[in-house]
Amino acid sequence: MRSFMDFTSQVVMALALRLLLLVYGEWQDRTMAVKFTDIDYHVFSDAAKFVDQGMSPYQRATYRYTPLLAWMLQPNIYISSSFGKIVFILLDVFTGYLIYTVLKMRGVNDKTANICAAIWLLNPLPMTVSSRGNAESVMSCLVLLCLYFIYKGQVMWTAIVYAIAVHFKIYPVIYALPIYLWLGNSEGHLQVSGWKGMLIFGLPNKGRCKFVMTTATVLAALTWICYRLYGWEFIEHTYLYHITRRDIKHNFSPYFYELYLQTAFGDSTMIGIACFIPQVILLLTFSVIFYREPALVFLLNTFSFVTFNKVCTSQYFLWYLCLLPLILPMLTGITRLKAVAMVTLWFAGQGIWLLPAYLLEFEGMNTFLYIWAAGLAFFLINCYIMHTIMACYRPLTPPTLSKQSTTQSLNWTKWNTRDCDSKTETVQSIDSVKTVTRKTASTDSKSMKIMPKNRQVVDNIDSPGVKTRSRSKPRSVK
Amino acid sequence: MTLIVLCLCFMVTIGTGDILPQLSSEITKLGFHREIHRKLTFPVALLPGLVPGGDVECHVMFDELIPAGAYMDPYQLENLRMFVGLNVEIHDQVDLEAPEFQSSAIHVSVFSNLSLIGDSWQAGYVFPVHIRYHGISDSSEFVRVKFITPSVAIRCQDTTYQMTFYGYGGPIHSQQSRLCSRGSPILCDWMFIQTEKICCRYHKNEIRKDF
Repeated sequence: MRSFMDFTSQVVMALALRLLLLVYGEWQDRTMAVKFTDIDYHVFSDAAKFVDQGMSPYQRATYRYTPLLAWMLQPNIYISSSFGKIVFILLDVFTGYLIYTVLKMRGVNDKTANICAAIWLLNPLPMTVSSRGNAESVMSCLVLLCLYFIYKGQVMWTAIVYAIAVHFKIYPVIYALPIYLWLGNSEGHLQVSGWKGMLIFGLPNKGRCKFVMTTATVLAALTWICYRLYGWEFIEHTYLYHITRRDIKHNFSPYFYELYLQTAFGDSTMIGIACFIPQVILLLTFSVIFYREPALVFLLNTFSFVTFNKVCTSQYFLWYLCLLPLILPMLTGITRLKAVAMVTLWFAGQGIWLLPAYLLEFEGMNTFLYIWAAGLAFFLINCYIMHTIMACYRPLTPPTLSKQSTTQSLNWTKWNTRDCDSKTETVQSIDSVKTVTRKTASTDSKSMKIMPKNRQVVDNIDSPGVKTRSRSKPRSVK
Repeated sequence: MTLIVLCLCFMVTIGTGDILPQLSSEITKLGFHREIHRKLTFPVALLPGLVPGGDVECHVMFDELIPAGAYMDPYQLENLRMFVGLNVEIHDQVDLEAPEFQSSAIHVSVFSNLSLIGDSWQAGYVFPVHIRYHGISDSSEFVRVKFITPSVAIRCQDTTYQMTFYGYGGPIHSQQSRLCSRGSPILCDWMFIQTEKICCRYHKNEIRKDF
């Protein structure tokens, strides 16, 4: 295998490319009518000017973010109008660092971690997004930082970063349940089967209480400060707008056409509420089943949230794309051909939507039905991708746990693996053979020997009281 | 489902014995993002006191009424002001995201200077407009968005004596005190004038028009 550039070189190259794009963007903005800079960056900058003048950032039309962002961009006024872009670029590169670090923490070898980080660092999509002044890198950084602290077992920092993330944008609220479950008691994993066991497992413990209290305190403090400064319009623009918005303009969501047609009947509140139901069901399901794999459950929750949302724009894709590199080493069940096919499908799905959307918006052709159909096709493609990820995900060795966190019994629920091409369960290549000893809930200790690449897993650990399923035969609950 | 067809409404009027400035209009581009081109041409006879480099300066103001089915983006206009010198004053609040049935018309004023081209004075501009989403319809696949001809006003000033110059030689509708220029707190006397509207040019895909 050809050697891949080391991580430091990647970071330097990523930074250089982004700064180069920034410089080019400044030139294009000055010389061409079509601007390189994202329109949102002007929104942030204008809001920062209003704050500088002692006014509310919400004086700027379409500013629907936390005031923190306008405060962050104050140097745009005094230092340089590109200051904000540089901040977003640095956070973008830091996201790549977090991807690398989290993977290393989880025992992924250096080469694989490098490649996965490169998928973000050298990816033209996030590169362009941050260089144009879009603030999505703030969110990707906060979410990755939250995952970092989860794997480190630092509950307090997890809660603080999580609260800031929710304050910035409301969508990280979908990670609350998996984090809560992750902080569960090591000996309480479904000791009693059925609903009773699940209820007992859901009871608060020290870690969970710490997480909930810290998150609530930080979030309440931020909300209170902003509310005192800007009043109800802060609540309305930062939170309520995103919950109640009914975007009837064409977007990737298959709901857009229904919402547009509903305009003839006045109030579409019930439709809007009904749209949340599939999202909630999926979020709950993924959280309960996959909480032991935080990166995976974060990805699936985000992916399903975006796919099933009432509004879906390209900007939202970054919310899950930053999490994808974290699970790539675990997708050992996917062949390269299938991986390429899925990536192609994902882009093709956007392409078949973009064409009729362009014809509608810029050529004035009546392509509403085609846009809607393309949206449905893209929706199905995303569902297929999610299914494939779940089917082909092979967990690593038990996650590296810090001394502060408790050991956890392991039981990896195996999905229907018939959809994966690989017939043999493989594990990731590691530097050396490792033997891991874990205590199950019944205090029996079993060992799992992890062999080098392309060797079968010797044994699996099952905790009592948990259903497992393999391709060979089902095993009943003890 | 609606699709929008744009057309310009014109009334061709010619005053007997009067020389009138000619106002031509054109809509370019397709889809939801259009550009409106206006050009006003004054025969030099209408402005006898106006000479290049002279003491008299004249300015033109176009009063546009953007229908509820369209809007102008104030931030885009600000960018155009800095980039191409387009001076537009928007008198109403603009909701960039509202559909047509939740919007109302927007009153804007476009300020322009006169330039001598050949044997006539000309003023003109190009400004972008965006079409809003319209309500659905069972009966029609298209909806008409009408941009009416703007009212035109002129004011001339003798820069030596800092006084209003009333040397315009054509017919005048009315006289009003309005902002001297975009963003100016000072009011000036503007003379609203009659114009001869020249029929528009249409893009090949636009087949509907009203006269």
